[in-house]
Amino acid sequence: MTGDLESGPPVLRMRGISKRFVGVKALTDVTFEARAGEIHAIVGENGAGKSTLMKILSGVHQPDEGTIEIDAEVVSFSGPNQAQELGVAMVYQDFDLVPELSVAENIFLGCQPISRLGFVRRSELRKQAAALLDELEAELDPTLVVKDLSAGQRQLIQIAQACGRQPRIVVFDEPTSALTEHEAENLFKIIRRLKDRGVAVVYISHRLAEVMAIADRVTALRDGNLVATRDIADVSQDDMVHLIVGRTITELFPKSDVAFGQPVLEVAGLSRPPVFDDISFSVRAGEIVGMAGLVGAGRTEIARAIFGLDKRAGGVVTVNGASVPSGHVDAAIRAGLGFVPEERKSDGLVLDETVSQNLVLSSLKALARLGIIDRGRERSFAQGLVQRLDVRPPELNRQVMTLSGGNQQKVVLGKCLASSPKVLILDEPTAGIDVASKAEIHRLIGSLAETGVAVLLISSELTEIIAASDRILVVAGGRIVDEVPRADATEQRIIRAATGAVEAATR
Amino acid sequence: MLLLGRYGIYVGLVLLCIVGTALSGAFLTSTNFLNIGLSVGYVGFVAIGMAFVVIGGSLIDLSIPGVIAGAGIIALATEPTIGAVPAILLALLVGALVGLLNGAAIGYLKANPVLVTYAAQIIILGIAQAAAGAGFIYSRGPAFNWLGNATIWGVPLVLPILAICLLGAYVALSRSTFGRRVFATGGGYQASRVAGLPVRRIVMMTFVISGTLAALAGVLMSAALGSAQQEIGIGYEFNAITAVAIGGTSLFGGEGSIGRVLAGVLLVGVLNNVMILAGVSIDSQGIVKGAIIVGAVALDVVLRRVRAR
Repeated sequence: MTGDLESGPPVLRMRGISKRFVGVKALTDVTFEARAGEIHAIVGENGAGKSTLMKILSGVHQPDEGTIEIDAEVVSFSGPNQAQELGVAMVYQDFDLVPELSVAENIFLGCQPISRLGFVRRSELRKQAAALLDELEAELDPTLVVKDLSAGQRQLIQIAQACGRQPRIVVFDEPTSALTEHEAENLFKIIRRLKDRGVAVVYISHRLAEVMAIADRVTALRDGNLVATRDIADVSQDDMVHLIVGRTITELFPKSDVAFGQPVLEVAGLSRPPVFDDISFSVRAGEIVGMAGLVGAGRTEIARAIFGLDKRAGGVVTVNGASVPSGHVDAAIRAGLGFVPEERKSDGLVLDETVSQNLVLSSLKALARLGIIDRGRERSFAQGLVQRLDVRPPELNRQVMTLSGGNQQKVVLGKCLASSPKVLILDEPTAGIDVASKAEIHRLIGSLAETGVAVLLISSELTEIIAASDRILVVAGGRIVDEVPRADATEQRIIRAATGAVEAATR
Repeated sequence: MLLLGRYGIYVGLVLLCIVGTALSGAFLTSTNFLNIGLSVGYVGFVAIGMAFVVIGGSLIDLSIPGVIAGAGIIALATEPTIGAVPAILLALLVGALVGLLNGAAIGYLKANPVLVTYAAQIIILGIAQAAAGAGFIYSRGPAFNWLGNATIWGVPLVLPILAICLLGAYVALSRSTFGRRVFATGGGYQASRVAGLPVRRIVMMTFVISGTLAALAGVLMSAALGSAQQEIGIGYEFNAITAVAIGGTSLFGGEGSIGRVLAGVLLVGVLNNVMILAGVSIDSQGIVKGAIIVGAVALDVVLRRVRAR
């Protein structure tokens, strides 16, 4: 594509990679290369194929078609170990460490220096760990126990682990999603240092500003296809969004002007230490309030406590002035709350059951007389919801497990809408959903707001939350640390608020 | 593959009947069918209750031998003083109460169903022994004698009672809101909770049903035997779970039907009958039954995998 030879020859070449999982095409003819000494970002929506491509690179999956070349030699991995031996290292977003062991022990997990008698040589272990951390210029005591460390420190361990094997290619998968701003800056320094040493760095992130700042080239994937590979100097952030979604932001997150009514959901002094404390806010009829924050900031827990899934230690939740008791989902639904949970497959759906059975689950009483379900009414009720949400295929008796992620999410939403909620709480409603369904779901959220539903939207995707919200609450360390009106909402301000408060607290 | 999972049990039942007919002229007679019915009748009650427990996601109710014996002893022992109908009701109530306690511990306290119900079995059998000694409690009044021997058009009363229970359970499981909730809770506990279902109470109720039906089986059994003692219910919990599993009700919960439970119960009954008619030795009978259970469970696991893809 670019004939630019400055940053050296490609260390990695993945050519014509295709991968199918039963029924689903995850990757189609994707070509990707990374040169020594470059930082190559991969961007795309959830489900675009980034993680499948990286799982193929790391030997977790084998491609159906296509080849992988490392240093111009065709390789095939039978498993992750082989990929590691050939110089591929991964730094994942969820760190797989043993909390009870020390930093040094975790770095060398499974490959500790062992004495002739079969014992771990502790002093040697500590020395080697310290050397590795020094090389990264990371300030971390190798004797500390992992469970006491912050997310950023844990990540350093993973990076040290990866670098211990002198890799040619290091993949960072959403490395900043749980880091403070300061920790993220540190990480960037380390990544640049790897680059200077001639490592090919593959960098996956949703945060486009970050990609602009650190990457040399960017490759965009969409629905399993390669969209383009560009030099970062040639693209703007808006171009990147367009590459990723294939449409403009306003097409993706249609936003209509709605006149707000009275406050519907009011939350006062909600607390459940140590997870969150003193959460107070309100959402008015027709308003979409976004809730942003780092992974682990406490947003999901706040939502669950409002809805009654978890007990609250303190605080009051009211809907239209009527209080919603703590720990009673049934009462919350009757009070007018609807909740679309983050874990669609475990918390949102009974996967073995049909579309119809899932849709009516919260409304069984209304469809029954003397405890016996009126099947005719059930069918027309479910049929109405399927049409309203445009669930495809529109088959009531289809097992919900066999639907696409987007259509599964429509079923979850439909189940909530069945009880005509006045407040809708959506926790990562478009995670892992294709672009078309995403736009549909946002159109639906918008039309609900127009009818006076108060919406609380939790999302880790900044583009989504900025485009869809009338107002954004930023949560960090279990508290609301900033409230940003739509007019002032920028990625920078939200990230700063979300990470700043954590740093202030840990300092 | 999926069709095999859905209809395999019925096909198996029909095939087995054909084999039975071919092997012995005595198979296809009304007397023989009555024998089969009687041999599996009591297990039938227990299997219905077990199906609710399994579909609701709680794996098994091991308290059943205790409940059967306890209910039989209570009914026979109290009948002379309080009369037959109150004695029966008392026995059923005790069965329901045992289920309530099991269910409360499992549903609300999240205790392990295997351990809780096994403990319940041991405790009840202990109480029964303390109360009745190692000996028999004999039926004295005419009412139980009638209940144990009455027939309708030549069919022992226990079978029509079982039929009524099957019908009731069918309606409850596949037509009622409660049944729907049992399926949803067993198939997706968290999702059901988020949907606002009273999941803990639902789990508890499945044990109440199981306890009550086991008590009914105990009363009818004791009436037919004319006596009760602490060992009459031994083995019923496993025979019931066998019938449920062979019928194709998933032991993972969230799946199954009363039709399949009935088919499973009949399959075990017909299989035993055919093996006896064919002169298969007792030891070999056990091996055959065990192999069929393994096959049913393996099929369940395989089908789950096929569908999960």
